[in-house]
Amino acid sequence: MINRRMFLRGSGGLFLSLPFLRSPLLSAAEPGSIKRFIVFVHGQGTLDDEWTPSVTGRSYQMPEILAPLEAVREHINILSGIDNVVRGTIRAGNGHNPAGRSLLTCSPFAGCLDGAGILKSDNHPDNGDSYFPSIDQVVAEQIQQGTRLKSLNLNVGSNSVGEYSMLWEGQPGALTKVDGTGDPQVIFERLFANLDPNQETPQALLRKESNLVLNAVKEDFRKLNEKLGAADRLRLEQHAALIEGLETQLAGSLVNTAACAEPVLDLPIDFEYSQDSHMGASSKAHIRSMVMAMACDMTRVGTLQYTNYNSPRFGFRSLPKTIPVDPHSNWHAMVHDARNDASIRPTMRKVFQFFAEEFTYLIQELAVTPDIDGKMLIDNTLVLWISEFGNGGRHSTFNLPVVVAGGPVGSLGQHLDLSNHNSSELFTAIQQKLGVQRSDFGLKRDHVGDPIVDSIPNLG
Amino acid sequence: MKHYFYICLFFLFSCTGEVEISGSMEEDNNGVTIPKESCDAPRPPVIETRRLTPAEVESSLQTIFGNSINVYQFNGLSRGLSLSAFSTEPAANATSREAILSIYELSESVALQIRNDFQTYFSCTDTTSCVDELSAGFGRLLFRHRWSNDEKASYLKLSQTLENKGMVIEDIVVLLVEKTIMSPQFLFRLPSQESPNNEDIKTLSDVEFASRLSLVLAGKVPDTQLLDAAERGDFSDPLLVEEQIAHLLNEGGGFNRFLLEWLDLKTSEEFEADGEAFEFGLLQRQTVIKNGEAFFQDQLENGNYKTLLTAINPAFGPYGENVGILNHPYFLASHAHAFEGSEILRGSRILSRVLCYRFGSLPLNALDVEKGLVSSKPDANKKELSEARNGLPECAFCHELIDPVGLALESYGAIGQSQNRGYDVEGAIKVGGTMFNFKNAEELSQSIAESAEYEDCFSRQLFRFTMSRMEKKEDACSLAYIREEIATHDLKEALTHLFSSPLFRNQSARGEKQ
Repeated sequence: MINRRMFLRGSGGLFLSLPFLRSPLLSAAEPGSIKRFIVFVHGQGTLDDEWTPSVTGRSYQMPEILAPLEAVREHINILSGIDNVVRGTIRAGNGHNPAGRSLLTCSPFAGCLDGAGILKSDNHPDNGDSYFPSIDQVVAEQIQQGTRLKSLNLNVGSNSVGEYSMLWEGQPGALTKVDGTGDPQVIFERLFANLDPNQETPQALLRKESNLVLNAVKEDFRKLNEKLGAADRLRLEQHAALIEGLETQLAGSLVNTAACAEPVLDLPIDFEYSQDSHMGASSKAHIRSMVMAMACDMTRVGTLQYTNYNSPRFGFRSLPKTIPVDPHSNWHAMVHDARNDASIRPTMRKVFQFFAEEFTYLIQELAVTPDIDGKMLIDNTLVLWISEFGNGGRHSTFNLPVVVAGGPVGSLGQHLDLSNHNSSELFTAIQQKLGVQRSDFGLKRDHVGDPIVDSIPNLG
Repeated sequence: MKHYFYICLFFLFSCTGEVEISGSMEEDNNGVTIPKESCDAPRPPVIETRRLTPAEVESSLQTIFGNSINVYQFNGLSRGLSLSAFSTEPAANATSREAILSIYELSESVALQIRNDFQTYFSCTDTTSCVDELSAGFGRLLFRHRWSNDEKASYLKLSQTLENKGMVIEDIVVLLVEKTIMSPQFLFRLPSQESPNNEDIKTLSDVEFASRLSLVLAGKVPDTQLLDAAERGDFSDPLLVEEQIAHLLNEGGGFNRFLLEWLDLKTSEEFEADGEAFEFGLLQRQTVIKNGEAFFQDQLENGNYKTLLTAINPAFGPYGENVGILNHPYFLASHAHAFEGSEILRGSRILSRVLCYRFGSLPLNALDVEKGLVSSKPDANKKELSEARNGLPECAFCHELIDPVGLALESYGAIGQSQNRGYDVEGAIKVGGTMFNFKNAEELSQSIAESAEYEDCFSRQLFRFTMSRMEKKEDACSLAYIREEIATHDLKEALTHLFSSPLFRNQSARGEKQ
């Protein structure tokens, strides 16, 4: 017996872009004011002394470590000097989880704050949920406008991000983690397998009535809750609350645009998404799915997170030195050692160029794919590339590597020195660029309501 | 060679999630001290609601629907929580959109596969008979009880709604199956439904007992045979209860599950996942695991909690240091690097899991300090490096305990093979109130086996596994009961007593406001 997923796995992974008959369904949102947001994020930061262009303005020379970006120079701005200052408020944790948790949330662990949301002076926990939601989810709340998915969260590597849980949704202090999906084939199945509404597959037939099933399941939860104590009930309620959003996710709303089609995944025949050697293929497939999900207006917000921050070997790259190589046992150790060992820098440069290549590919795909309003996706999409460390070796959260791209940014093609600005200000500015009417983001100064930030007046 | 320190340091301290703030070690006891004397009548522990783990969901569906259904691993729920105890902790029950969608997709996948071969699974032809068939068959197993009239009525209502929309019976039935898999009655382990909202202690019904027993010992919902036995009232007969417990501990793999979770032993798949770096072939993996399981089996039949650490492993002959589970290749290979053992991984695992001590945060500069040590002593062996490490106060805080324990196991390589390191591994550490002195791995195991700390820790780990949660203050007498049992009985007898005792067959209400 074989189901569709197994069939796809067994078919060698060379998925063809299949034509289908589109239905004249209308977009859930009116065209004209479409804004989209994509976060591209990976762990271990960069080599900040190589990353920052030597001059600001439009005439900057692209650093070697970012060389692939030259191809999309007119679509991007390089932002140097931005610090993650919230990380410094967390007085516990290890070298990674405070930086990871606060990167996109500007938030300490929830346990660092008291019941009133005030930062405690001590007794900070070593780990925990974020207190504030992440920028992607804050934006998604505002701009999803009835699209099928609040956000599309893709992981390159495994499903799990371990201590690098960066994405959180919900109300401050009561957040739910946003998990990503590692397997491009699962994403294909979810989003594109039933793209043609005229196709009467068994799955499509069942899904037509999924709302009835889900309502009955919710009724089961409700009845059961009446019999449980408060603590037990809370666990069930958290689960049941998320069933609410499932109906929208399962619905196959589709926009009648020329660009909306099944993406070409182009995966190797023995593809295994969590296998390190397939990271490059996985990344490309995810990017194509992300772009197509936007073109089909299934979502307005996406994240692409590279989850293996400790020991990827980047075996698909032609590196001057392979990883692991004694004494740099893994990528994490290599990042640490780069400060003192210049001989490994060429290898590291190649790795960081890999991320630059993938980001470039994303921008290029957005630039040639029409949005539902007839513009190109890149015209409507603000793309953010960020990592948690400026200097990976020192695990420093100052001078983060930040690149922004896309029409909503404003004037592009520049290197801006934003020293003395922080990531809270960056995200405040991003919110505003995307039409979210908020003047702060994340932890507040003195935690009594005064924003820790203003905004960055000029991202581009 | 030395670079493996970085891997183990990194994973040990930054990835386990078990560490606490401050650079110290502390007892992993959740603030509960086990009383010196057993209590007269220990209060049965509260059963907390928890979601089934992904492994329990998958294993249950496979058992219920058979091997011709492909139950793929699904995404979004925490997998990496090794002790069942943590399955009631917030991290294990954390929910996300991805998790819910993933569960839906799993239910849909099972439904579609049944749809493809409908007559293999159902013989009914109309909504009423199909609801009856589902409720008496797959539905009963999934819910772990016979459906109430209310439950049947709700399914009948749904099926009639679907019928009115023109759906054929096959589609209707598989949608009902989909709903059953999504329902809380399947996905959650719930307290007894008749549990009163006061301080009363309730005895589980036989069916509830069977369900609880199966989830703990078999890692899945009860099969038809077990549920039938419960419904027949077999479990009012203590002999039949003992027989069933013995079966689940033994053939059902319950004792193996405990050891795997307690000592964080890798499964064959987990070894395989390390394949690129780990030169540990399929045959070797299978041999090590098979031999380990044979040792566990032998201990279950003939040993006690002390001999688990001290019994000679028959596969390695009657001589040498290779005694007990801590010196077994299964444990050694589970806590090693690709090409050599790890004194840090092994030492820390023994301290945290066997002696219930845990560590504070890794200092932020630890990797740099270690790198400096390795660079300054390029020819140093592990013992010399350990001495240098322990010369630094910030490292010594933890490593003065971790390193001696781990170094004692340095007579075994990455896959547990004997090796001569060329240095003595004599060590002495003080944990709790006990001084542990040892000249080699065998003596290390023996000194741990005789300690009060191990007795205490083994009792806690058994409680956590059995109750699927961490101990709380009100569980102190239950812990004392378990300690008494393991101290005075062989393993099989102690475990049989525990699972048939009022502690397991009864539950206390939470005593909280509704």
